[in-house]
Amino acid sequence: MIEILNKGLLTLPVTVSRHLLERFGVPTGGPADPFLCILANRLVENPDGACALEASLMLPGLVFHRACFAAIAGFSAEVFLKRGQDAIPFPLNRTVLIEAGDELLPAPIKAGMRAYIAVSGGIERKGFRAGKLTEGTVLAIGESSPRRILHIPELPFPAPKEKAEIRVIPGVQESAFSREGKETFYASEYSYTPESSRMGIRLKGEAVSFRPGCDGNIISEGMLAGDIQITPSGQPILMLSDCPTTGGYTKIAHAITADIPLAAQLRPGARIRFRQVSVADAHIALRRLIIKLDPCVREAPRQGD
Amino acid sequence: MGAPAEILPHGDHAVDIVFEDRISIEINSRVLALAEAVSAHMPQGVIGCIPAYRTLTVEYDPMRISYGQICLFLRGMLGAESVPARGRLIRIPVVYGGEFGPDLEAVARAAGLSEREAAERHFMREYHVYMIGFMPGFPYLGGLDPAIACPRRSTPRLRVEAGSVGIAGLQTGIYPEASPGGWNIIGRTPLKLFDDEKLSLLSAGDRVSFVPIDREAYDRITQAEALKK
Repeated sequence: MIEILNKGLLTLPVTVSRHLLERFGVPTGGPADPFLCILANRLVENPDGACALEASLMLPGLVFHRACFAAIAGFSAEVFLKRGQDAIPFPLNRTVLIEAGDELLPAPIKAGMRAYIAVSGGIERKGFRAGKLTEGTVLAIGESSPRRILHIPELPFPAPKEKAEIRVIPGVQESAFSREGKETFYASEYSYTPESSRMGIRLKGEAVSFRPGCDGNIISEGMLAGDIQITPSGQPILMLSDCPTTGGYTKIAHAITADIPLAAQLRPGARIRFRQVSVADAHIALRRLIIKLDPCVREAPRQGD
Repeated sequence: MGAPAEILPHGDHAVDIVFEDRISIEINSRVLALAEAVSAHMPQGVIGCIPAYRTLTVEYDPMRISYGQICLFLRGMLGAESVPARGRLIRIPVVYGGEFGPDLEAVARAAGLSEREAAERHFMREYHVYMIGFMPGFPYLGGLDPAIACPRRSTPRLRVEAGSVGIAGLQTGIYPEASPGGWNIIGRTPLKLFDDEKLSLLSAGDRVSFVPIDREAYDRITQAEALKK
């Protein structure tokens, strides 16, 4: 069992996205950065889809009531484990052997927006709703017998910077926009506003103009993570994993799957540009990313005693 | 058979099958029949689909099926559409007006009707469930009497209670959970529209009729619903 002592800013149990309930309006959910979550799970020899904790901007404080293996996948944070009277460093991107009673101390995430905490055997999740965790929440952990201490010497994707380029495929409603509108979208820089969440990133910049006769509204239709809607005010929203299953605004473009993790790791204030690619290029980019995941998790050299 | 459907890439992991750009039961039924057919076959790599008014979004894993293969599969499905079965008829009890339907008065006034007449216009019709979306279990119902059609509120409410029945344009819908919302709220149902285990009370393609009830019946049904758990 693990028990939350300090919930941080937003800590959620996340598991692979579900698709079978979309027709009933249930969002696919899942980790905002699926690849980093997979790496956290692999560090404790869990299946890729095991439930892990997603922490935003701040790692939560929690106590492990049982010995297990744990790992935090993230870009940068100084994390400590309280064991008795000692504070032991908890390195990121490495399996850590946990003793019953060990306490993970809350810590700010210094680069990227989100980090993932995986525990060997996976974290229990009741039903399909990712309920927000609060102080006192107790989560069961599954049985497992990992043997190895693993680490990731170098993450396969660099920490996001202030400026990012997101590759996109032309949107299903591209024809709803004027030629100038499309030029504006691809030529300008948009800033990530604080009114963003796991549902979507609200961007602000030069307004995208519509073709005469279009006002940004459509008959509602299916919506997916990565979709970039332009609202009637001309501002883009990039949808993330908790987006509703349907939406009624025009979609100018769709972020490619390989770049959704990058979007999910940007912070308010970041500046984003969009670049158009083909579906074939997007699939090549995704394959390259997936191929990089396997070799990056390695057996860790034993630390000196 | 209506106009041919178009297949468009919806990003790099989905395709949209797009029918005529208007709201009609006939078009929606084609979408739903296609959704049935796709779900029944689900070839390797197809992971889900979202039927909506006039579009079907089919998601795939590009590492398991190529864009070309998915398009080929869907073209095959388009040729083999069947006529969908007539949807189930589901009756939804509603308390109209008062604290449960704070916008009924304004809707009635705009239509030049009494509150009772406006409510009658609402429950005298049978509705088609075009899709479930926006939040788990939220049905988009079409077929509203144009006399009581009404644009969304200019300022959305910060909180609309669970079970609230609303009107927006020519649509009517029911909020399964409390949420912010801009629809005009004319009544409330004691039924649970979404349950984590039993899932959505309604499915796209169902038919819905509303039955007016009083507050006493509302409380009784609320109690019965709680016992079902």
